[in-house]
Amino acid sequence: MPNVEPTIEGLVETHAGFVHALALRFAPAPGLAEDIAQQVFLEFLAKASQWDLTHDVRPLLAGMTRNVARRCWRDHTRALPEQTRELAEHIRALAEDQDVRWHDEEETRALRHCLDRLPDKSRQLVELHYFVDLTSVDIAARMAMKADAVRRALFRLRGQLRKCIQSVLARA
Amino acid sequence: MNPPHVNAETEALIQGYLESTLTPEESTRLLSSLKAQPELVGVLLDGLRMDALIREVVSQTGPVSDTTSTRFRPASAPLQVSPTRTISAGPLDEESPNVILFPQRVSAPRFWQTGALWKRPALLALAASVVLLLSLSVWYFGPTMGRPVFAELKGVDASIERGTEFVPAVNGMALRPNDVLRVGTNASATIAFGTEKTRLELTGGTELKLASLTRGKRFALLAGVVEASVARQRPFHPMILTTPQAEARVVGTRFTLTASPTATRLDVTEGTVRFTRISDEKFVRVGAGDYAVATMNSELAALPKTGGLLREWWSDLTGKTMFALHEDPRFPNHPDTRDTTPNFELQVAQTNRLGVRLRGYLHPPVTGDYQFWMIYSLREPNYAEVTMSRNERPADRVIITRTGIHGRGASQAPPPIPMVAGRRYYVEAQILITSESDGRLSMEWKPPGGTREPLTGKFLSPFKPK
Repeated sequence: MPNVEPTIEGLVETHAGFVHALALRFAPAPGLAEDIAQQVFLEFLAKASQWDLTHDVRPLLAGMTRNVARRCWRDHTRALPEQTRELAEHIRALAEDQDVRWHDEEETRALRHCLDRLPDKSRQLVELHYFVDLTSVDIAARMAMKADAVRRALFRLRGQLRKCIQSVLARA
Repeated sequence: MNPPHVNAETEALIQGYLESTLTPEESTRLLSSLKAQPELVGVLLDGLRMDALIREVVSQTGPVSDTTSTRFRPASAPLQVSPTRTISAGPLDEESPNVILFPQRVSAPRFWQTGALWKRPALLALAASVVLLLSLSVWYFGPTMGRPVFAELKGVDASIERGTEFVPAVNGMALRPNDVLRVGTNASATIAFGTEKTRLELTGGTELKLASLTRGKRFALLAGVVEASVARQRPFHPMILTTPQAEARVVGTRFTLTASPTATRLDVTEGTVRFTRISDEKFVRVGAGDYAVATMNSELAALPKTGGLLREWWSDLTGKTMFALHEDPRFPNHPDTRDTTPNFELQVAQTNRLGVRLRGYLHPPVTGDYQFWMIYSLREPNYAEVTMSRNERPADRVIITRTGIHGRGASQAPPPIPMVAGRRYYVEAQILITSESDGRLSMEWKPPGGTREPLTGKFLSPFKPK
């Protein structure tokens, strides 16, 4: 009898990025990719005895991801206003054809390094948005700025961090 | 391939999409941009991916900046509150009825990264069973998606003001937005949020208004005390409690909020709470073991919780003069014993050649002039003195009173010392017993507008030696 437990663990670790990336293509909305990936692996685990783990499980995980993403997306868009739903569906249609990659451990380490080197104002923005969970509108109200200015600042800050990560990885 | 050019307006619109805050009109504008420039979807997907990465790193490393350090640093301890989150409901259940409480991604390691689950088939089966049970129970009790579907009230002698009506509160009754819950003086109540591990405990005499549930739980504490244990909340949906003076913004933690007509006090047990004074929008991050008070004419700061002073003992002193303690080679860093005393007082019986030092911080509750009296019963040549700093640095301390000055029965009033609420002041007392006798020492103070009374541990916190 094959040693099943480490194989499952290894498979999950190996394919976590694949499932996340696929989930992002099928459901390109904030937070959904992580939810979908977790749900996929839970369903995968619940039926672990049914799978032949000696074969490539990617097609299986891809199918599960597509199904879970479809349900999750339907639930997500149902509550949206008509115009926003139309936008979301358009983005989803475009995203399905995109080549998407999920982040890995190296990128995570590089990002820590980059965040350490941010100037004070950018660090404050990161904290308010990503740690305290304030939206741009909330941040703007607190900092006496226009919401669009905060949105642009966050957009550009993300771009700076991306460039920094690429630079760190290139040096490494 | 180079990334597409993104103009300033589109930058703002994409960011709005990433935060789910686009208005319908903005959605239409972004849709037009995407139709004209379909390659923008790559920017948008990269934004979603980067946001997930940043959120993960920030949640693992703690706040990006705070009052003590502006650099990223690893969190000193893992989150104390087990985060839970429902990750599937509604349509997700059509093919699989699983609705599963699961560690939230931003603060807990992925379950497949822990490894332990897979070591034994029995553990695997057990885990699967637990997951199934959780799924069934959550499915049975209804969907939450991390948001409170209903608030359950427990307790007696409480009522709800709902519009123009007053409804007696009963167990299991759901609260609605704009309800004002009033708890009787001799009662207590608990507000729960379905399967979410968030609890608000309301003590007697508390008035709490449920302001909103649309973007997180919003409450207004009108009066009284709320002890909260808050599970980690969804992104962009923090729990917010406001009082007439302050706002506490919570992502996941345990704390107590006390509101009175003039001041609001926050005591944090676990996690971190962002505490904002409404009058000037100043805020402070209050961590575990700390407290802050929002009131007029005070400094808003996170301070260690109060409760006593550090007490250090040196026995068998060799000298016989009042300098015996300072001349001892063990002084000041190597006392025989260290402990804490709940109040500013000391009593010794039939002892000899003993030195004692009390050290800590004084936390004035209001801003103004304070007077201090040392109450002692010591026969000469035994000696005691009290020193205090105008800040929290021990090095800046000066003698404010000593034996022979302003003791019990002295007619001369001690000089007033100005202090600011919200700050802490280093305070130290030294007592030297060189001649065998009983001895007793304590402190009294007179706050601004108050009366002379014993200085209790409620306004003191112990010094922490290195």
